This record gives sequence, C-alpha cells and structure tokens, in this order.
Amino acid sequence: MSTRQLAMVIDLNKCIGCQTCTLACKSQWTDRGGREFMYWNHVETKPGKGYPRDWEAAGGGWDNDSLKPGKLPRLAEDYGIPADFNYEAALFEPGDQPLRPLDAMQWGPNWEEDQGAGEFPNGYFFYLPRLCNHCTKPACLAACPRQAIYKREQDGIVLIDQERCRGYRYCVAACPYKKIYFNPLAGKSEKCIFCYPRVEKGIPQACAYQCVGRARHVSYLDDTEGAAHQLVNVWKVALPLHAEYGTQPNVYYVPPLSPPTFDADGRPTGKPRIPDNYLVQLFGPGVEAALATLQQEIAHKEKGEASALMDLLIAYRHGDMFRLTPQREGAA
Amino acid sequence: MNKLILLLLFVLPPFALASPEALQAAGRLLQGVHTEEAPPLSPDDPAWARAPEARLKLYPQHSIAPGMEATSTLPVEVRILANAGQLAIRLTWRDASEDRVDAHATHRFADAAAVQFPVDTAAGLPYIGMGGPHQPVSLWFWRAGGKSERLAANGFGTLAPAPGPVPEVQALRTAEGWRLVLRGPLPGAADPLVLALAVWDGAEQGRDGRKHLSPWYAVRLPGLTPDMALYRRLAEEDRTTGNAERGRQLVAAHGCAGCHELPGSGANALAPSLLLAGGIHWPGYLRRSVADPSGFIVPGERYRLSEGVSLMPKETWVPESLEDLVAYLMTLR
Repeated sequence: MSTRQLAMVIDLNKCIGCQTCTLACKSQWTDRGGREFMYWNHVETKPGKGYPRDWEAAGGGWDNDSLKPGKLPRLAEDYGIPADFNYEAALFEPGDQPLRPLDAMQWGPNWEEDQGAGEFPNGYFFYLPRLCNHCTKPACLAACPRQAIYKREQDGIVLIDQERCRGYRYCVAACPYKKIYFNPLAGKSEKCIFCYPRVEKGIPQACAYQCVGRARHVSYLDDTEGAAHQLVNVWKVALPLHAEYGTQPNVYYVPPLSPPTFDADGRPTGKPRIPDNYLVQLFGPGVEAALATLQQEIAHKEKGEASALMDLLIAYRHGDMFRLTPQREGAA
Repeated sequence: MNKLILLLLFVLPPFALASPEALQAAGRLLQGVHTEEAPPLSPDDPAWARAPEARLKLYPQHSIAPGMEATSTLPVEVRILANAGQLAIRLTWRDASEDRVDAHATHRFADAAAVQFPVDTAAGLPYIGMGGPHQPVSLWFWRAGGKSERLAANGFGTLAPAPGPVPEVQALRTAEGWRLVLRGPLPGAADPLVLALAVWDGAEQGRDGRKHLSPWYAVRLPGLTPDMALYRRLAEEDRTTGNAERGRQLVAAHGCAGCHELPGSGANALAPSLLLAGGIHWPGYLRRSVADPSGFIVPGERYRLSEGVSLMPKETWVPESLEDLVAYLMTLR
C-alpha cells in the first residue's frame, strides 16, 4: 500500500461513449510498436462481453489472500487484430467499393457498441470506460515472480519496470480487469501508466483531461477537498467496479440512472430500464443508496434548491475536476 | 614408492585419489571432447560424432511456485566439444509441437533452452535454481524464433542481461523435437567445467519456473589443465554414506511434511517442495541445508522469518542422522 493514492471517478451518467478518452490515450501511448491492439483506456457497452472478450469470466484477482488462476486473452479472438483498411481502393479508385478491413476481424475494443440487452421498448445499455484501476492490492504485482511491477509510494500508480519484465505474463492472467497487455513484438507486458509523466507535472491524465462530457474527476483520496474523496467517501455515489475481485481498485464509477420501463400498454412503470441487480453485479451493494442519493439531489436542483453534489458532478469549471497537487490534510 | 601410495591410500579418503572416476561412476561427469579447430555451430556437423552422447534426465521444476506438476521427466541428449577458447554444447530433446516466438499472439509461449554455469565454485556449487545472493550464475539462453541471450542471476527473479559476448545458436527442428547447438567463449579455463541445463516447452506454457531442469554436472574437458581441487570438492559434494530407510523414518518423525511437500504429503507451499530433491540437488547442498537452514535460504520472501533467518528451525543433528536424511532425500527423484 502506498502513502497516497491518486484516484479517478468516472460519472457514467455523463459518458456518451464518444471514445475521445480512448483516442487521447491511444495517440499518446499505444499507437505503435506492437501496441496497436492495446487499449490502455477503452469504453465498452454494458451489458456485453467487453474488451478483451469475456474479461469478466477470465479469472484473476484474489480469493482472500490467494491469487485466483486467470486466462491469457488471445490477440485475434479476444482483443481483435488491429486491421488495416482498404483506404486506397475505397477512397481513390474508381467504383464504389465500401471501406472494409483487409483481414476478417473477430473482435475489437468496442465490438458490441450500443448492443446492450433487453427487449423493445425496454432495451437498455450504458457505457463503461475502463482503464487500469491502480489497485491498492494489485494482483498483477503479487503474481510477478520477478518483482517487475511496483506501486509508487507517492501516488499509488502501478507500473511495470520494462527493464525487469521478461514477458512471463503471470500479471496478465492475475489482473481480473485484464488491463495488462502483452506486447508480442517487445516480448514484455505493458499497461496504463496513469499518465505519470503528466501527473508529475500537475497535468491530468490524457483520458480525463480530454473527456468532452466532463465525466472524469481526478484527485488524491486523502485530499478532503478533492472530488474523489467527496464522491467516494462523503456522498458515497462513486463505487468500485467488481470490488469482489479483491484488488481494491482506485477507479470509481457513479452508476447510471435510467428512464423507466414501459408496461404492455406503453405506460411508464417507474422501474429503471437498467435493472438494479445488474448494476449491483458490477458496482456492489452500494448501488441502490448511490442512485437514491443522485435522485434526491437531482430533485433539489429541479426545485431550484442548492445541491453541492450536483454542482460537483456538473463540473461548471473544467479545471475544478482535477486536483493533482493539493496540500495534504493537516499540512500548512 | 609403493609405501607412499599405501600411505596416501591410508591417509586420504578414496575419492580424493580418483575424483573424476568417482564422479563418472555417480553419473555426474560428462565427457567433453577436445577439438583443434573451433567447435561446430551446426547441429548436423559430422564433428559431433566424435563426442560421446550423454542422456540426461531433466526434472520438472516443482520446488517453488510457479512451477510444473512433478509428473514426467524429460530426457535430453548432450554432446560437448571444446577447444582452448570455445565451448559448444549440442542438446537434443523431444518436443511434439514447434512453438516459436510469435509476434501475432499474446497467449503463446516459445520453446526455449538454457545452459547455466556457476561463476565461482570455490565455495561449492551454487543453488541449482538460478544461484543465490553470494553465488551468482551465468547463463546462455535460447528461445525458438528469438534472439539468444547472455544472462546472469543470483537467485530467483534476478535474471538480467549480462555484458559480454552473446552465445551463438543454431537450432534444428526435427520431426521429433529440437536439436540445438549453443556456442560461446569457454566459461573458465579449467577442467572440469560445471554446468546445468533447462528446457521450456511453449505448448505447456513454459517460461520462468515452468521448466525442466538438470542437476549440476561436471564436464571433463581433456584439453585443459585438470583442477584436481575442484574434482575433490565435487566428489565431496557427491558423498553419501547414510541409510535411506532410516532417513525416511527421521523425516516422518520430525514432521518435515508440515512445511515441505514429500511423497504422499500433498502440496505444501510453506517451504520448497522436496518431491524431486534428489533429482536436482547434490548431496552436499542437501546436507548443508539440513544442517544449517539459514546458511543458504532458497530465494523467496516466504521462506524466511527475517533477513538471513530461515523459517526452518536449526537442529543439532547426530552426524549419522544427518547422513541418513541426506541419503533419503537423494532417493526423491
């Protein structure tokens, strides 16, 4: 465990699935050198198999203090090959060839976009941005027989020492979020670095900073003025993803509210489209209280009353969402 | 003259006189062959016919996790040729599937092999599993479809690239498996050379500790000056005089299976598994380990109470009992 922990809160009510975060990350870190298939940050549609395919059934994480076995995702079948497209033929040659991948694709980072679940008129889906959780009890770190993975004391960022990594991939199997990727060209494993070179300069992570929906807050968990502390510990509306995996993740999610279902006569039932029990599967037992708090605070705003929570989530000023160099509690 | 020989026979234990032969009889000596020209790199080179073939048994690495099931051993045929400066080792083993480094796969592992050399044998043989903190080892490593590497280690998890010439390799994929030649500068200039082997099977997710390994072997290199002191040390390392059955009873009486995996005990992660201890260790190492568990602790956090203090309590053994224990452990293979 590190002295301090930098945490991210993602408000799923504001995520529009535009993948600006995904591209901000990709163009910064993973656009070459065997990383083409990797998405250190991606946005998947839930419910769905996600990326890599069926990661929630791929094992890893903790069973009390023992590591659970996990699978290694396959490049073509589970991540998806980074296909080239027939740009030349489609864009510059005569005829009307459609733009298509040159290789048959089996999967990709957002293969099931907007598919979701449920029957008309009660279909539902929401977007789930995912990145390394920079866990407090990282299974990847524990699984590495070479101690190539470390958690930084000053901010809790989990990193792979590329000099020490020999590509054994025990970490890939151990991470229950499947957010460590083996680079088959380099022969080493790589992962989200929480943009530590930016963080060290006081600049937020590319995924958070570029988010057009102002859905991502970043602050240290012990910074009582920070959004992470406020949303996680005070309002308790930001919840970890699959806490039962046991790694104590440090990316938190504000669960999505949804419009009511319709009954056979087309009348709203008052029950949310996204079933509570599905959200509980993802975000744990705190979901109901979190959604109730959100609804109550929305109601305040609707009546023209003040709501500190809504003001925080609305994020009137972009800069207010990030506190990367705060004073520690009690410090001068 | 006869008197002198008689005196020597009386004063010195017999192994001191005939050390290479003693090691040979114990199956711990491989015969290298001296070549005038550079030893060959091609696995098919006719020169290999001049070197006798030794058939070694490699054991699944089962001592510590992550390792392999202690089920099947792997026979590896070894031939060794050397001149004054260069050493070439040819390894032949069965491997049903050809697994090469694949730049388009994230879940596959490549077949691999390595030769391990002790850096210094003055203090005895290093721990077989990547040496130890004060007893480094150097390695030649080959991975199918990848680059060969020169590596160094001083304990589990410490493997790192080492400066110096990278070994040359040539691998031949046959219908049955691999025939591999590794060639590099002779590590050390004396006879015998000491080495150990490891082989990884990509199809079995082989990497790191998921390998088959040999115990240390001495290699007779006729062209070089014999280091009789080293031969004597190795013969001493190989000494067993105890009674294995009495050793087995001692192991049962002392509850060693409370921490170590032993035949019939089931898995136990508190201490290194001893299921194949006799296959991969020499008696000398086992004797030192039992007599002074903190003298050398198998690298790994969980085996120590604190820095330099083994989880295993130190007991004062009657010398005969210690020998019986060693004799029993040597039967575990």
